[in-house]
Amino acid sequence: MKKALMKDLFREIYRSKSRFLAIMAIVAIGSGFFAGVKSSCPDMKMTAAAYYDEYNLADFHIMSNYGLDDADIKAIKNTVDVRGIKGGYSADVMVKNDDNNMELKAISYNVLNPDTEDNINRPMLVDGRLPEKSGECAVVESKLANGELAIGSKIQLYLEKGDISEELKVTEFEIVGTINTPNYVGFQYGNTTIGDGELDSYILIPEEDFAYDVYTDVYFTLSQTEGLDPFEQEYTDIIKENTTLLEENKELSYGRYNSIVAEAQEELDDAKQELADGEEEAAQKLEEGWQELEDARIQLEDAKTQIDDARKELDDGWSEYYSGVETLNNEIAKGRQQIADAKAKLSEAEKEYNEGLELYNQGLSEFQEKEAEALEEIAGYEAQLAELEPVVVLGREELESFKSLLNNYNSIIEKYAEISVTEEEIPAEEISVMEQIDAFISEMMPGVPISIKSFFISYATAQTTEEKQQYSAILGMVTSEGQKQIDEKEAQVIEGEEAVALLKAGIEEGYRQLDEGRQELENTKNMLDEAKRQIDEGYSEIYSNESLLNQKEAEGKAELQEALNKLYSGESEYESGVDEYESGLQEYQDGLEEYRQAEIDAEEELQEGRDKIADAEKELRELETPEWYIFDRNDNQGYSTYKEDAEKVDAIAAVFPFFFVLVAALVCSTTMARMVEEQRTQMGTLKALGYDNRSIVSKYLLYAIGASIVGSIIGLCIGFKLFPSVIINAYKIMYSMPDPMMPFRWDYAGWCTLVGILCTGLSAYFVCRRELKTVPAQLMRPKSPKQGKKIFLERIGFIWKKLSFSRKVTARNIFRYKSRTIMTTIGVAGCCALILTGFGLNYAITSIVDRQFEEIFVYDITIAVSEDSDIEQLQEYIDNDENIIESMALMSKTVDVKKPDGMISVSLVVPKDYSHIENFVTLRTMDKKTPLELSNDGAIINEKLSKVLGVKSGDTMTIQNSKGSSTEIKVSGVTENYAMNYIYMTPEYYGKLYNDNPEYNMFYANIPEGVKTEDLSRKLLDNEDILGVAYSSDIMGRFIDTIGSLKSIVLVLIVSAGLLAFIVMYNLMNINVNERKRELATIKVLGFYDREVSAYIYRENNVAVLLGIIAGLIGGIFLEKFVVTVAEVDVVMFISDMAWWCYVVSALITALFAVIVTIVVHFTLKKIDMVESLKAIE
Amino acid sequence: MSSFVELKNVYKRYKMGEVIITASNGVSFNIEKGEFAVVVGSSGAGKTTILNILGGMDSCDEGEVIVDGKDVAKLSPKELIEYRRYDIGFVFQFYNLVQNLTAKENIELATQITKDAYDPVEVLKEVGLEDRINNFPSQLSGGEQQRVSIARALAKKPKLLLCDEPTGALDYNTGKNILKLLHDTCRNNNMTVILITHNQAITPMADRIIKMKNSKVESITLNPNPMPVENIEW
Repeated sequence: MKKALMKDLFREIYRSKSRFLAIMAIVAIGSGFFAGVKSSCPDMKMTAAAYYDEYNLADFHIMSNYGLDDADIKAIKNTVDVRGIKGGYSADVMVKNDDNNMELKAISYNVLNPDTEDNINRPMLVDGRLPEKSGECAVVESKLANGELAIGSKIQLYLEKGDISEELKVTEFEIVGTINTPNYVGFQYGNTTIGDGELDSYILIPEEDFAYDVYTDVYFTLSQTEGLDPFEQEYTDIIKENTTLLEENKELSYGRYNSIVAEAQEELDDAKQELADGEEEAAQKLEEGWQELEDARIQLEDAKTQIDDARKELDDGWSEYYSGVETLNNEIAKGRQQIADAKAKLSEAEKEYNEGLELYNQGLSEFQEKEAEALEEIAGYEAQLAELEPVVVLGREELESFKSLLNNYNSIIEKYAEISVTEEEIPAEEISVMEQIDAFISEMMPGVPISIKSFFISYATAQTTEEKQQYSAILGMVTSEGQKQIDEKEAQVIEGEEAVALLKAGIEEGYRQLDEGRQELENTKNMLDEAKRQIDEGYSEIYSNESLLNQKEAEGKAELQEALNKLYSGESEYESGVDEYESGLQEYQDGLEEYRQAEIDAEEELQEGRDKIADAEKELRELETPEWYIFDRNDNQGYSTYKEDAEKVDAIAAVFPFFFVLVAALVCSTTMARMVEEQRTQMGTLKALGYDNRSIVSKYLLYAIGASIVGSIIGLCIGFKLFPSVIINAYKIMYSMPDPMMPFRWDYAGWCTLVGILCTGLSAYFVCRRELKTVPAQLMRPKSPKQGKKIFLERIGFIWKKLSFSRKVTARNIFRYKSRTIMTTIGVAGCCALILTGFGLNYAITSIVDRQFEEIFVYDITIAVSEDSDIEQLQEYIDNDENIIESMALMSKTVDVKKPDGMISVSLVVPKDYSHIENFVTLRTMDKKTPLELSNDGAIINEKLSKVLGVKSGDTMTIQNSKGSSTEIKVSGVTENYAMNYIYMTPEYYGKLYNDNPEYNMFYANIPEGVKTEDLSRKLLDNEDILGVAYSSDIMGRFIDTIGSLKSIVLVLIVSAGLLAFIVMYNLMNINVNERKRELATIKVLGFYDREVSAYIYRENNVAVLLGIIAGLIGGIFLEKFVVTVAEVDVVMFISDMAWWCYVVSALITALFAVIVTIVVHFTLKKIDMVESLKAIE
Repeated sequence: MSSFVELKNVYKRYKMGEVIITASNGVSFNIEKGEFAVVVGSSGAGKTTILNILGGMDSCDEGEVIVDGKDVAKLSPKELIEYRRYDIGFVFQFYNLVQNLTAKENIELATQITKDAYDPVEVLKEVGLEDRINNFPSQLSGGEQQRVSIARALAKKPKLLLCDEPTGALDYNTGKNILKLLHDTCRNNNMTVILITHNQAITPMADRIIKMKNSKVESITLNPNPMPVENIEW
């Protein structure tokens, strides 16, 4: 090339540095991303391969049900071409780490083994040193070497069941170093039969500390695989070939078997002989013993007779004594009975008496009440009588005296009727009668001045009859009157006397009646007193009887006591005799027992011997067929998942970089084409000056290629380091690998650069060729501007007319610069789709955490328990804890499921009481969230497992337990689940499958919020059947860490996509501005404000960006679905639908890039010189 | 009373690396309102610099540029845009029509940003393009394109019409027609027109001839009897 052209080229580059840089940057990003992401997978594999190679990862790992020995190693060496071979030991043991029990695989390390090819699975020392002597161990770098289990600390290995000394001679180890081995690159260590069934880690301990006498494992590498990439087909083929060789050579595995059988037969024969000898010796010894015993027996029999006689005597005495006691007791009892009867009668009488007394007292009080009443009444009568009687008596007396007076009078009168006497002659008594009458009359008739005395004197003295008559008449009057008076009086007196008599009779009667009552009461009283007396008499009689009886009893008893004392002394005498006899008998019996025991023991011993022999014979007969388990690297979980993950990265790598390269190529070619067009005048001039086409083209080619190469180199240098390291570091969480190897890959570099060069160079070349076809003159004239054209929108009048002027201009421009619009749209769409994919992936990853640990796994903690504990008792123990709301026992164990390309580990969960399973685990369909129920004729598996295996409800699948036996199960439902794989079945179905009850080894439990987990753990772990407590929140955290590795890949995607979008948009805008500089200068001259000028350009760009965002969002949905499908691993199911904000944020971020570009371009626009408008069109 | 356009000692210097190029070296002249002025000079005489400064597209380092009483030299960038927007009409040598817009739309491009503008169709009629209203520039001849360009400048009702070699890219007759159009516009609308050309032959039609040489004004000639364009030959 001519010097001037060279100079021109450099000036051109300098002048258009933004364009040059843009091409460079796009090529750099495109190739860097492509090569970087593309080389991640090979880098990962390379790192692993180098690691495997350096640390001698075994090609084969052989185990046997008989163990392996040096003869086997020799046999292997004879069968295949071995490069290095090592026999080793391993044992599954447990260790306490904080509060949890961990299951470890203890692996032997030959401390004397030199650094040779035979040192298979060589540990890579991370820290400290390797174990050198017994009691030292090395632990895995990241797993155990934290907290308590740091270098320098000691660990105690143990087993829950079984005797660890069968496996290890030493159980306490000091940690001296941390290591990694190529055998376990992933953090999965496989299954075990101890603890929770899953190995948590492994430790390396000296070979000599194992108690085995045969190897448990043999590892070897093949000569053929030396230097081969283990991820290549060639390696796989060699392994397959050798596996066939090993498997076909059946007699290989019989080595140990044959030697065991021979050894056992010999031992058996020895045992039989020993048994025969033993039988004879035993018989003899027993005979001797029997004779001795017989002698003792005879002596004892004599003693027995004596004792029996004594016994009889004593027994008679006893019976006599007892009959005496009985008689006495009977008598006393009888007496007591009589007394009791008498007492009963008396008490009956007493009761009657008391009743009588009661009645009497009642009567008495009644009577006394009446007596008072009656006495009062009588007193009334007596008062009347007292009043009346004297009156009556007096009346009678008066009457009688008056009568006698009157009679005296009458008789006096009559006496004197015929005789007359002088006064003196009249007897004084007669005069006194008269006087009495007179007194009477005056009393009777006071005021009547009559003096009978005088009349009488006169009468008596009267001489004449006449006179006599006269006076007699008068005196007669007195008589009549007197008589009359007397009659009257008499009637009165009689009446009074009658009344008195009546009263008297009444009183009399009253008193009589009272007396009668009193008499009656008196009688009753007397009767009662009599009864009382009789009763008292009765009692006193009884008491005397009683005391008599007591006396009699005491006497009898004393007599009996005496007899008893005698008996006792006899008895004790007898007792001592018996004791003597019995001790003799005991001695004899002991001897007999001893003899019998000896007999039994001998028989037992002999039987044991016989049994052992029988067992041994049986065992020998039934000896398991020897079998070798041959594992290659594909059976190593770390190896195979690592390989899968690396290939997964490759799959993601395939989509994105392709897209990046596409966009980069499109943009570069547009840019170059534009550049060539811009410079057609110059090209014409050069051509006119006589330069040939090649020279002219070479400038542009060199420009393009230069930009591409520089861009490629920059991009590749960064890409080869950046992307693999980000991705590999992300995977470091899941794999322990040495630092990644990231070589500069010339093949990828070459391809990337070539694509870059081709894209830019070819477009430059073709455009140049097109331009150069025309004659120079034409070239030097400005290219006729693109014709303005009506666009179809204008034909739709009603829309077009409504558009503002500037909108019309925009619409026209969009169609005028179709290719650029399309390019921008594609660029933006791609950017937006990538960002959406990034967010979608991020959402897919993060949202499953919530769904898994909030919605699916409802339980808060899992409690691992010992398999042979009493599960009901434990359930009670757990439920009784105040911090446990409820719990569910279950069996959880790991089983293997065969999938089309290998095996996956699945947790088999058998809940004991699944009626409340929804409180712990949600079983529901993925799409409609219909709850699923466990049934007894099938298992529920999770969605991901169903997808991986390609089975659905109603199909069958095969699972393998840790011992390798296969079971076919029926799938009754498919449940929503995101992390890990699960098979749920009822205990009944499990029983049906295995003919065995599930061994429950775990509880799911719920705890209230805010419970102190440490305290709870400690409390639960107090129960020795509880082996560990794990919290969902912790598991969730670990899960987030694990899937976090994918997030950084996503971040790389988003950032790269954004960067690309920015550069694409910037570049296209630049082209746009450059191409239309004149137009822009013109509108500036016309007086457009800066923002109006910018708007003039942006409106077109905005439409393109908007279209791009829409296209990108739509495309992103598919892209995300695709990437999610590719990125998924076997144990995780992502959600492929996205939240609305993913779309919004993606669109906004894309728009943000557009805005940034706009701002940058705005300043470019400001710098456009209006003088441009005056220039001639170039 | 000062003139409508007045340049006083205008200096403009460009720095090209180490070298300072003086594009205007103390330029002073006046132009009255309604005049048809021609600035004439050979290539590199500083005409374009003067035009840029007058048109508000560039600033001067020293001196005053007074247009209708306003010192353009002292305007801020934003005021300069407004000055271009409302006060200046610009006719380019290469028409500078937006290829993507029809004749009418190209005029609308100018009128949409002006407060008081003529109707685009009316202006197009005035410049004799009533049949070409909806044609794209590529469908028009050079003269027609220049007419559209003039119409675009006039439609804004500018105070000052600046024309940069309007006939430079046109053939003789078409050029004459364009000059006549400009001259008529000047006379009919009392528009101040400043025409920049290297073509001395045009000068007789101008009211004022400003000759430039070596970045300076060589002479200013007033022509009391301008010749009609038709009579000018070159």
